[in-house]
Amino acid sequence: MHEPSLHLTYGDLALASLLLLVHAGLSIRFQLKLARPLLIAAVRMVVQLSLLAVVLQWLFDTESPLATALTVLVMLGFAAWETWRRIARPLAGRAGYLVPGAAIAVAGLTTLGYALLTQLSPTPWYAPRYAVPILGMILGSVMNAVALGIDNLTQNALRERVNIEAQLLLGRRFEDAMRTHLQRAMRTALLPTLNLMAATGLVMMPGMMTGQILTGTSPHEAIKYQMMIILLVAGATALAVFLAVMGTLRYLTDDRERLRLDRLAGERK
Amino acid sequence: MVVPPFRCDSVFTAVGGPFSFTADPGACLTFMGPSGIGKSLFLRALADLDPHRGEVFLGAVSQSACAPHDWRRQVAYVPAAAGWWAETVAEHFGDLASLTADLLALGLPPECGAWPVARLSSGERQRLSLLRAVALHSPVLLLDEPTANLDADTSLAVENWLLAQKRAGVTLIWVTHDAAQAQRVADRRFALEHGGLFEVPRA
Repeated sequence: MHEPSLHLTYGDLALASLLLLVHAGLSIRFQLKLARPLLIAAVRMVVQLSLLAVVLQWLFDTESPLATALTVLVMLGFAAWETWRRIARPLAGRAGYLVPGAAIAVAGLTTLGYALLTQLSPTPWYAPRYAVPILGMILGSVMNAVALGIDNLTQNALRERVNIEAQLLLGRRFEDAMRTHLQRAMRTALLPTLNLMAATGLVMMPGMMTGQILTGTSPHEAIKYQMMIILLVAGATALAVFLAVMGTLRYLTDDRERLRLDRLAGERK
Repeated sequence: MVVPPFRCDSVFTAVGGPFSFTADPGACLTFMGPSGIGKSLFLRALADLDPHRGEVFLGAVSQSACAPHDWRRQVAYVPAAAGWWAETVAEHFGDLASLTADLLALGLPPECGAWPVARLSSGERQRLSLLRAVALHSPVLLLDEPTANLDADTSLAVENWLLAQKRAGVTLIWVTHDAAQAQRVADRRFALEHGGLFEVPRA
């Protein structure tokens, strides 16, 4: 590791927040009602990340497999809950978070395990310094995509109910009647991932590699890591979306190939 | 066409039952009842589109023992406002060109296959959704107010066309709000109430 070429002080952080304060002034002057939510969000970010710094430092120092496993579980639980929260009409009951949760857990843990056992192979393999940040990056993208996919599928099924049932009534299989909706849900979910890969490096510098470069890592090294992360994240996202959308589709029908919209939760209040 | 009898045995929908009837092959049964009594829900149960209790038979074959898509092809339900999933009319048919005689009988021009569905009037939609189901050659048709969106002349044309299907052996289960229509088309008339189906004695 290179020594960081610049050393950040808390004063520097305060300076970085100055632009937001300027905007807060503008917001108050033009009554945009954005000053308060933006400042609250900024304070939340600072508090959450400060706590994260403490937790991560402690995890890295102890290197306990149990603590790492617990952290991973808590992260997966939060991811499932946050995904469920973002879906306008999730499946009713426990399936509402268990289906996305299971898809996220399977895809996330498979990808993480694969990365730790092959490309990265730290010692010990469960070293939290690798496992936790990589899982965090995977979950960030996976959560978004799974929520988009399930949301798109359930909303389309609700909107297109009459047209889907018209096909069932003419003797088409449920699978065939839902095909375009299935394709659309999967495509919608993966669009941000596709766009990200297409735009990366042209107009956008990914945060992780930028951070490494700022702390003195050579662009070659930083970019190699970034590529690996992007490929892992994209793979995990695609797998999770597939599992989550297919799982939701199964709940939308029964052994009589009916469209079971009664299995969706009601509108959120 | 050799058609087995269609029998419904103690079906309960979400709002009513038990509903039971037996329709002889090639018979026309009309169901009448006030709005909201659950006539459409009953037809949906017959087509196995909603969970329900009770059993339905086509000849010796029971609904629950039949593959769902096969059942719906045999017992074809035409909702009052059916859905359309593709751009043009013809895409919803296997071979619309072979149905020209039916189109003319329904008062539709043979070139309507090229029409975009979005441009259809509710009456055109209704007639085309009937034709779409009849083209399956199902032994049983479940008709949910098949002439609700039509003017008097077109209604009669559709009625006659449906009765021609009946003469060819198709069993018709016909929900209507129009007592005169029921009088014209029915072999047997039923009143549908929350507690069941009650046959109306012949006048």
